[in-house]
Order: sequence, then structure tokens, then C-alpha cells
Amino acid sequence: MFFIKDLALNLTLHPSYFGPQMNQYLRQKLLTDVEGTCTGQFGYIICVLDSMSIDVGKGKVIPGNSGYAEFEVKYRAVVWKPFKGEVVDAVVSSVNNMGFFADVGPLSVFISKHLIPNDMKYTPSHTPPAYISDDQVIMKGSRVRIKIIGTRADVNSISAIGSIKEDFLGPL
Amino acid sequence: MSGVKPDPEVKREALRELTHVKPEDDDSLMDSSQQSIPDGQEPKHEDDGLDDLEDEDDDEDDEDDGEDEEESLRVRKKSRANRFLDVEAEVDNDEDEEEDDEEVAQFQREFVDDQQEGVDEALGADRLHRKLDRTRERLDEQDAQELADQFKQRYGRSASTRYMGSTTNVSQRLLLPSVDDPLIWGIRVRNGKEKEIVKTLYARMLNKKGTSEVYSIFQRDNFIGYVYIEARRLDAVNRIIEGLPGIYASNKVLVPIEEYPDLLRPGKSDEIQLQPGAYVRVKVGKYKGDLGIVDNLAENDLEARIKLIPRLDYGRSSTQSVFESADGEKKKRGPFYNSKFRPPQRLFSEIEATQYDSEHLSTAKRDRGYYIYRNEEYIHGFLYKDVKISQLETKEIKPTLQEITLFNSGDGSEGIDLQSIATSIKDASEKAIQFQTDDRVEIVSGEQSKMKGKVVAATDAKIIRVLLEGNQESGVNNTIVEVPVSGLRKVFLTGDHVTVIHGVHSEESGLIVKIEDNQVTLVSDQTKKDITVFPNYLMKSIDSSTTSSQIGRFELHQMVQLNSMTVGLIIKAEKEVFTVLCTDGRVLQVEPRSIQNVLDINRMTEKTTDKNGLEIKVGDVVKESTGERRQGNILHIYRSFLFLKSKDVSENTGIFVVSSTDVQTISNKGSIVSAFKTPDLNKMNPDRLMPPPAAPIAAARFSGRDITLNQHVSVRKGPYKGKKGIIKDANGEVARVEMHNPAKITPINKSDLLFELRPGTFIAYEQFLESYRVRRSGFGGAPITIGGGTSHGGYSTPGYGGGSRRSGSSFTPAHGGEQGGKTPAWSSGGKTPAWSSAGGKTPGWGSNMGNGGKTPSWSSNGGKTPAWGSGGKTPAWSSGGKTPAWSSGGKTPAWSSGGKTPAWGSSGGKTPARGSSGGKTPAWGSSGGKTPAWGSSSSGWDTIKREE
Repeated sequence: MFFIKDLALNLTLHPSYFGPQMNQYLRQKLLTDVEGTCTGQFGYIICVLDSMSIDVGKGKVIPGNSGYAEFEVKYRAVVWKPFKGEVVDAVVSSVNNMGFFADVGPLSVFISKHLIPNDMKYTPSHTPPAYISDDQVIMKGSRVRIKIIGTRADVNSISAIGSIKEDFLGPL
Repeated sequence: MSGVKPDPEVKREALRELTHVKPEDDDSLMDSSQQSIPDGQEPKHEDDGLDDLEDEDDDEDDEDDGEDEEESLRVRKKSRANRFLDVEAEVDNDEDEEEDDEEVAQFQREFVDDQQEGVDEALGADRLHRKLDRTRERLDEQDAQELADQFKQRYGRSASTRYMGSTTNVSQRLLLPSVDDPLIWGIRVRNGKEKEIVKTLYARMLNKKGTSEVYSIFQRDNFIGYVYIEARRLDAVNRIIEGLPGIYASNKVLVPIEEYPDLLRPGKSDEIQLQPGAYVRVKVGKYKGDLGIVDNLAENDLEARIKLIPRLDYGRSSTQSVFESADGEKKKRGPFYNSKFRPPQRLFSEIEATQYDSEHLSTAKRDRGYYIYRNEEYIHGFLYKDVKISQLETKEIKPTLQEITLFNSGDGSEGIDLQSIATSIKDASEKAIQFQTDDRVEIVSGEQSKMKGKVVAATDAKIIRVLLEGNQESGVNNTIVEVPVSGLRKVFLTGDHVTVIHGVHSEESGLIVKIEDNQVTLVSDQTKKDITVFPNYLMKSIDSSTTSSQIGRFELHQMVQLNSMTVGLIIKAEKEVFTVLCTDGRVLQVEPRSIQNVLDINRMTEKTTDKNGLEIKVGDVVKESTGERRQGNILHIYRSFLFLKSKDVSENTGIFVVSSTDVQTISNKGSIVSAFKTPDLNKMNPDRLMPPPAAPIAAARFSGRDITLNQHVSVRKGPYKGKKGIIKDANGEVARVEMHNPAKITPINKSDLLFELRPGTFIAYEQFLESYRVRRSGFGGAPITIGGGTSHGGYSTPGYGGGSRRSGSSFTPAHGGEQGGKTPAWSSGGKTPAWSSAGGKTPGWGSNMGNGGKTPSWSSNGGKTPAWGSGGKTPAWSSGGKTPAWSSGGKTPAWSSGGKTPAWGSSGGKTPARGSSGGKTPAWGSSGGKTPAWGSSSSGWDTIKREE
């Protein structure tokens, strides 16, 4: 599910940056640092909003002899976090005898063979290997609709398992 | 305590019913029971039944002192009915229970008195008849009575304990054994034989003469190697044990009386009664440590027939045959097997047996799957073997799922009988199962079976308080019940993230994909493989379990050193075993202690070069250039070995090792290296960054069509090296080149191309670009240079001689005259790179423009070729300064001849100089030509005109 979330990031800046370009640089750095990353807590940061008008605030010089300054940059971002029970469309990225992996944007979801309808059989002889039933084929590159049934959030990654063993799920 | 108690059987039961013993009688009872009754007593009964009464009267006088008056009255009343009592019961009464006997005797005495007082003759006769009957009956009963008597003598004491429950005020101390009790001897026997010996001795006690003084035989589990015999005299003990093997008769210990209670204190026996279907492990021999299932038990409870998975090599191992042949005869113990070197567990295969060792395959009932091979029975592939129970491990057997799967592989459809596993491993598993507050549980046994709830407290290790909730029946919800651990099962939902806390898979974590009755299947985070475990072996894991892969000092995906030669990457970390992928591609299972140390590799220095000499580092994506062409992320670099992780590879959790010389870089990790660790000011500061990018920015400033379009190129790098083609399209640094030979369009980096300036002359992209740029800047600067003499000073090359010294204008006319008033062509030409390029061949010209003699100028010319082409002059160009082409242009006949320098010579007598550029005359011509390109630089024209 997508959210708009207010987030903040602490950036530390070397004194050589202190100058008229500083704000611009901080914004730039923010974008490179956070866009496309993943936090277990909030999910994937898809896009930073209003990137041109980000409030970088006032920096504080860190005590010590380094001269670094710390800025708390507040920003709003579109985040995506997968939830249990969420139904999403995905692209199959790899197929093996234990199930298949499907990519939902940045998230890789594993669909175990236990969660694939029983009539879909793993067919290694098919090129590429695929799960095949009478009228459906799931192979690398196939588009499938899956239901996320479990997620595991680490500090900087999320992994999930999904199911297509329900009505209206499966190859599109 | 497993001592043998002769069962008093039915008769004793009957006695118990009729016995009305009061607590006060206990002591007397005990005393009497402890008296050994002389053998002569029995015959006395037989001689005269009436005398019996008299005897008992005497007894009564002695023993019945404590009885009060009221009691005797009650007894008397009760006794009135005596004559109508069932005879058998009455007999029992007097003979067996002495206190009852006494009562009866008393009654009879009084009764007889009564009779004597008020009964007439007739009645007396009737009574005599009845008495005779009774005596006869008693004689019939004698055998049974005798037995009962014996029992009484032996176990009469137990009567006291029987009443313990109802007596609250009898001190325990008084019940302790005293010197009057029989003695207990402890006899040393062979270890492990205790029970067998107890059984044999018991049989003797019943059958052998002269052993009646032995009261009991027993052994205690806590005292290994001893059998205890309770008897009054030592000779009885000696008699009963004589000649029995396994008993060390010389080693007898008299147990001190004060130690009796300790000896006989009931301890919780950890003995498990073996039952068919129970799991056991063999302790010795070839199958040591193997799981077996009890098929049935031998009569004597000493052996069990167990079902095992055979370990056979069908006579292929030399040890086996040597053993057999050396002995010549059948060897009972069989070959010596080291647990390390023994055949793997595999079901018996008839095919292999017939193939390799048919002489030992004696019986084969194929229809029933029954074989005898090497004197052992195999049924349906399993080995059925009689094993002594003492050689079996029966406690805390925890079969692994693999073992059970093996056992089930033969039976096929039966499936795993989890119930039987559950019972056999209950004790063991209870210890491991941990219930935590808020665990979801289901009650699986007892009244509340099938109820679901939540653990509110686990006060005791064994008892869990469960708050029932979420059940169908509304009434039961929100009540708290206490349930033993064994009656609970954890409940999980598909998708839960759990950690295995017990069993082979312990420490693994994963997401649940499937839940069956009592089995949970989860996908391991580490291996992405399925694991099936019991739900009680699982625990909900806390999210963000980053430490899950760290076990001890090692961690998943860590480089470790196994020995001085072997280095590998941990690809699977379990509790006691690590799976390591070595640099040579082998996969090893190693214990933590066989790992020498962790390779300390600095991430920053983990760099090497790929096949093409490009730097690769951790995080880059590379692809094998040979073999399977697998692609993966670099996890680690060790010397020239790359450990790659790929999502597409399933073996070894997607990790494989390749040599760095076999890979090609696909993409570099856009690693934002934390610059603050090593502040590189040049990189950090945007202001400092400015100068270097200036060049690319300038390059990007080329507007309009891409200058490389339609250029003839030759590929200088990569798979198409040496091929020629034409650029059809270009985007940034990549050009789409239409190849001549394989007629197809391929995207190739521009820097990998050589641009054809003229047939046979190729220049690199950078030079091509530079020449173009220079020409552009030449355009911009044209007005200025023309205005100043300096520009012409530029012309003042040796070739031009002093002519350059004069003003451009003065010079130009001359040219113009020659060219038919096309002076501007000259002057403008003089200012353009085209000139310089033309002059490239004339040292003077080159020095003039600073980039003289540089082919790039040519290339910049080449950039203009289309323009030229449009001017219809290109052919001339391509012809490479062959004047005929020019002449064909018909524009500069003089030039064409001038190509041969005469024209020039005439103009300024500079012939030699021109001559040097003789081959290049077309350049002049080109400048002279009215090409659109020239025309486009109108400003240049204007100024030139002004000058004119």
C-alpha cells in the first residue's frame, strides 16, 4: 500500500560544502540517499515529494575539531509497504521446483509450491521452466496476480511470501 | 520397585470382604502374622474340627484383651446368624482372618453355652449334623486355606499398611521396620541382569522346596547390580539362589534395618514400558544409534523384535567377507563396524542382493516381500531383528523427521503416524517446548480439546494457564484454564514468521506456507527451502531478526579460512554445522571448530579486474563469459575468486564461485561510498567538481544533429572489432551502427568506434569530436580574426611567405582574382579550421592554428561532409584530392591545375609551399567552393565583405 509519509534524515556535511550551493547540494544528497531505499519500518521510499522545496533547516556544527555540520532534512515521500493480505500484480522473475519468485516493483515475493494451486505442476522440461496447468502457464516474465500472505521486515529489506491459491489469483 | 508379589487371588479378595478389622487390632494382627506357625497346626485341624474351637478359645483369651464389652456384644448379636451363614464364608472366616476367627470362636463358645443351656436332644442332633457338614467342607477347602495361610504369614504385615489411610493417629515411626521383621539381603548380580534374575528367583520361590521362608525378591533401578531377597534366615537365601548363573553368591550384603525405608522408598521410575510401535535406538553394533520401531516383545520381556532400516553393502566391503571367511563358521557377532564406516541406511534391495551376494540370500517369498539374507529377516525392505532390551535406548527417543520419512518410505501410503511419535517423544519434547505469554495455542487433549486460546502465564514448566478465546461456543471464551504442556499445541497462521527452536532445524527461521494437522511447513529465510516441523517446535520470531544468521563467531556470507589452503564462504549457517563453499567450488559441511578463523577482508580493498581488465568490486553485477553464463552480484572477492549470488541459481542458496578472468562486468554498483570516512574534497565539494565536468558539458553543448550521424566507422573494440559500418542513429555516447557484413544494427559505444575520415584513414572518437569543436570555435571567432591582421598572421606561414605579412585584403584579391572574384572564399577559408586542416599537411598552416597537422581537423571536415555532399563536391573529396574531380566540378579549372601548383605559383610565387600541400589542393578548392556550410556562417561573410 502506498502512503505519503513525513520523514526526516540527518545529513552531515563537510565544511567545504558550506556556501551558496549548500542547500542545493543537501537536497541532491537527500534524493540520492533515500529514493529507492527500503526501511523495514516504512517500506520502500518510492519518491521524495516537492524535492525542490525541501526544508533543509539550519545545520548545527558538530562539536569537535572536524567542522562537520549536521542538518535535519525534513521531507515528504511516497512510500510503499507491502501488507499481509494485499493483492498485487507482479512479474515472475525466476521459477524453480520449490516455487517461484515474483517482483512487485522493488519487492521480491516468493510463492511456494504449497501456495500454488495443485493443478499447476512444475515442468522443468519447459523452456524456461514453468508451472503449467491445463490452461495456464507461469514462467519467467509472466505476469501474475498474487496475494501477499506474509512479510518479514529486516532493517533494510523486506521479504514476502505470496499465494496464488485463491480465486482470481494467478496468471493475468 | 519391581519386586514380585504373589497375588493372593480370588480367595484373598473374599477374605478382604469379610474382614472387619478394627484399627486396634493392627498390632496384634501384625504380631500374629509374624509368628511362624508350626506345621503341626494343619494336621490338628484335620484330626478334630471341634478341637479347633478350643484352640481358638485359648487364643482369644490371649489376644482379645483389648476388646471392650460393647464390642463383644455387637459381635455376639452378629454371630447369632452364624449358623445360617454360607458355609464357605464361615470357614474362611475362622481359618484365615485370625481376628475374625477369634470373634467367631467367642461366639461359638457362647453359642455352645447357650445351646447347652436351653436346647433339647433333637436339636442337638441336628446341630451335630450341621457341624459335620461344616467340617467336611472345611477339609475340602484345606488346600486353598493352606495357601492363604502362607500368604498371610508372608504378607500379613501389608494389612497394616492397608489401613494406613484410615488411621490418622498412628505414628509413622511405629510402622517402621523393626528387628522382628525379616532381613533383607542384597546380592550382587551381573549388571543388567537384575530383572531377569528376579524373575527366575520368583519362579523358584514358587516351585522349589525349602524356599518358603523367602518372603520377597526385588531389585531397585537405583541400585544397579543388586537383587534383594527378603527372608528370615540366610540359608533360605542361599538355597534359593544356589546354582543360578549371573549371581555372585559370595557377595551378599545384609541391609541394615534403618536403611529399609530408603531402599524401599518409591522413586519415580524413568522406565518406559516398551510397547509395539515405540521408538528405540540401538546402543551397540552395526546399527548403533539407529532408530528402530518395536515390532513386538519377546515373552520374557528381555528381547524385542525391532524394525530397522538395513545398512547393507551386499558383500561389497572387504571387511565383511574377511570376517566370514576367516572364521569359517557362522559368526554371531558379525563384522566389526565403525560407526563412521558403515553402509548408509537403505531399504533392502532384492535386486542388489541377488546381483552381488546371491549365495547369502536364502529364502525369498517375493509375494510377501520376505527375505532372509545373511541369516537376518527382511520384510518389505526393513530388517527385523531381535535385540536385547538392555541394548536398546528406550528413553527420550526423538526421532528426526528424516528418520521417520525413511521408515515411511517403505510403507508408502501410511504416512507419518505423528501420534505415535508424539507419545514416544513426549517426555523429551516437553522439555524443549517453551510456551510464552501471548502464544496462540490449541488444546489437543482432555475436556477442552479443540479449544483455542492464548497463553496468559506459564507459571510452571508443565502447567500453562490458557485464556480461552475465539471459540465457537460463546460460553467458554474468556475463561482461564490450566493445561499441561503435553495437551497444548501452538497455533500459527500461514505467513507468520517463525523460528525453529528445537530439533534438527533449530535456529532456522522462515515464513509459514502451509499448516496441516500437526505439521507446519515453512520456507527458510536462509535457504529458501521447505522445512516441515511440529508446531510446538516453533516460536514466533521477532521481526527484524538481523542476528538470525549469526551463529557463534561466524555469520552467513562470511569468508572463512578452513586451513592454510582452503578458504570459503559460509553459505548456510546452522547451529552445529556450517556449509561452506570453497574457492574450488566444493561444498563442505564443517563444524564451527574446524573453521580456523574469519578472513578479515576490507571491503574497500576487495577489488580485482574482470576479463576485460575493468575494475570490479563487491556489489557489482558480473556475468560469466563462458559456461553457463550465470549472472550475479559479487558478494566477496578472494584473490581472483569471485563469490556471486544470483537469484536464478537454486543450488547452494544461489551462491557460486567463479574466476575473475571468466567474468564480464554488467553493471557497477552505484555505490554511494560514505565519503565522510575519507573526505575527498575534490569529490565532495560541488564547486571543485566543476572544472572536470566542463569538457563533457561542452561536448553536450553540441546542438542539432549528432555529429556522428551517417559517419563511416570501424569498430575498434569488443565483439565486432574490425567490422565496418555506418552510424544510423546516435544517442549520447552510444551509436547505433549498421554493420556492413552482418547486416544489422548494433548499439556500440562511440568511444569504441573509429571514424573514417577518408578511405583508409580512421580517427578515434575523441579526436573526431575535438576537431569538430575546434571548427565550431573557429566559426565563432571568425569575425575577430578576420578583423585583425593576426588572423592573417596565421596565414603567414612559411608557405605563404611574406604574403601573409600584407593585409589579408591585399592578399585576398589576388586570390580572388584567381578564383574569379571569390575572394571571400579565400579569406573565410583562411579563418576556418578547414583551412587548418588542409594546412594540416603543411607545417606552416598547422603551426598557425595551433592544432595544425592534426587529423582532427580533417575529421571536423568530415563532420561537414554531408554539407559537402549536398554541394555535390563530395565525390571530389572522396576521390581524395584528385583534381580531375574538381575540374569536373568545373568551378576551378585554375585550381585543378593549381592542384599541380602552377596556379599558386603564379599567384604568389609560393609554389613550393603550395606544392608541399599539393595533394591537398582540394582543400583549397573546398574553401573556394561555395558550400552551404560556408554560407551558413553569414556573419563571417559580412565582415569579410566589409573588409573588401
